[in-house]
Amino acid sequence: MASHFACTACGKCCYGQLPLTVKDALIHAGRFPLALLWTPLRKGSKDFPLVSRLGVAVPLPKHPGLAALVVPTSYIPADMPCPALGADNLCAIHSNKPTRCKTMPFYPYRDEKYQHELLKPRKGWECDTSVAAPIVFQSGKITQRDDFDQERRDLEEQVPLIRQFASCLFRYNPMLATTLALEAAKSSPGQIVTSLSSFLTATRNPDARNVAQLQQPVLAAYLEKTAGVPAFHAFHSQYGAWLEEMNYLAR
Amino acid sequence: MGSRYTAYVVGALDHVANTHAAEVRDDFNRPEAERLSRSCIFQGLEIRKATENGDRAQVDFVLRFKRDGKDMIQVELADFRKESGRWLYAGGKLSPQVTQRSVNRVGRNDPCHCGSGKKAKKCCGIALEVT
Repeated sequence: MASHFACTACGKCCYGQLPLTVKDALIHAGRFPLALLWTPLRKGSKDFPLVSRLGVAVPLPKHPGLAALVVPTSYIPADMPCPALGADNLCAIHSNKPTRCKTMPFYPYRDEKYQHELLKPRKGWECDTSVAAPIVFQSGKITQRDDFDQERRDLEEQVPLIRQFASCLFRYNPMLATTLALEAAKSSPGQIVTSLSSFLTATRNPDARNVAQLQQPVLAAYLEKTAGVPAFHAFHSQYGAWLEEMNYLAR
Repeated sequence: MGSRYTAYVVGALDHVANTHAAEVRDDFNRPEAERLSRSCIFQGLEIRKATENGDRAQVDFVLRFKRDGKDMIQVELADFRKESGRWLYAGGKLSPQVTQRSVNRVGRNDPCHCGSGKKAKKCCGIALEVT
């Protein structure tokens, strides 16, 4: 069966948090407020094999079958637009936007055979999935695959770095593994949020000072945008804490 | 050990950085330590047991502090090593009883964080769907 899809540039998917490759996160550090998000996944889930390959094993003797995706993320509230979404409702950085945005709605953190599931537009989205739109998926394969392959390659290449980061955090924060296990056991597991500073430290990023300088104005802007709004309280205090850390790193 | 605690309390983080052994030095997240040193209210260090054996030592301690108005506790068995007459922190085993991570809740019916537009429960492995 063939799946058709064409983007109509409605801008509806340009809201809320955006997962990024490490490369894209660092390139766009002057644009997005960055954090590392950990999503736990138990063995038996259909995405477990790929998540285990692209992510990390959670070191818990009592839960041998727990993995986590660890993803640099533009960390903004779900109903807040991407900072690169222009007043004309078009992407202001279209020509050099993150690979995540180019690949949408495909999602290489999941196995290729499930990708057709991602083509169904969400309520309110204006994606064209009529037969007039090009065929993008057929017989279990993506037919227009350059962006998907590029993003998957980037994800595979960054695995050692992600694992270096994860093993450092697990070593110094045993509660991280425990929290992931607690979340994984829930009917709707949350994601664990960790700071960019810990990622830069653990991966010995030689460019940390420059990245911090790029993050400073971004975090300051989001601190301001989320001030005094009760629904954004958690985001607000996180931006404040991260800004303090970036201020120190940027000196 | 005591001097490192005091350094955290008074915000003299250079001392903390300078008393790390080589194997943990580069793992030290100084920006985070600076922030925590300023934002936490330290309430006490209790040494439960300390053993010394030549140039090696272990300290079993409990650290009490308040963070964001919440009482926190850290229990650790820390390793120290003596180099040129100075004791250096060489790592430790923390008891995993402090849950101090921020958890981001994507509700089951919220759009998935990947931006796919699928409900979180059907996407990105958030769902614990068993095949």
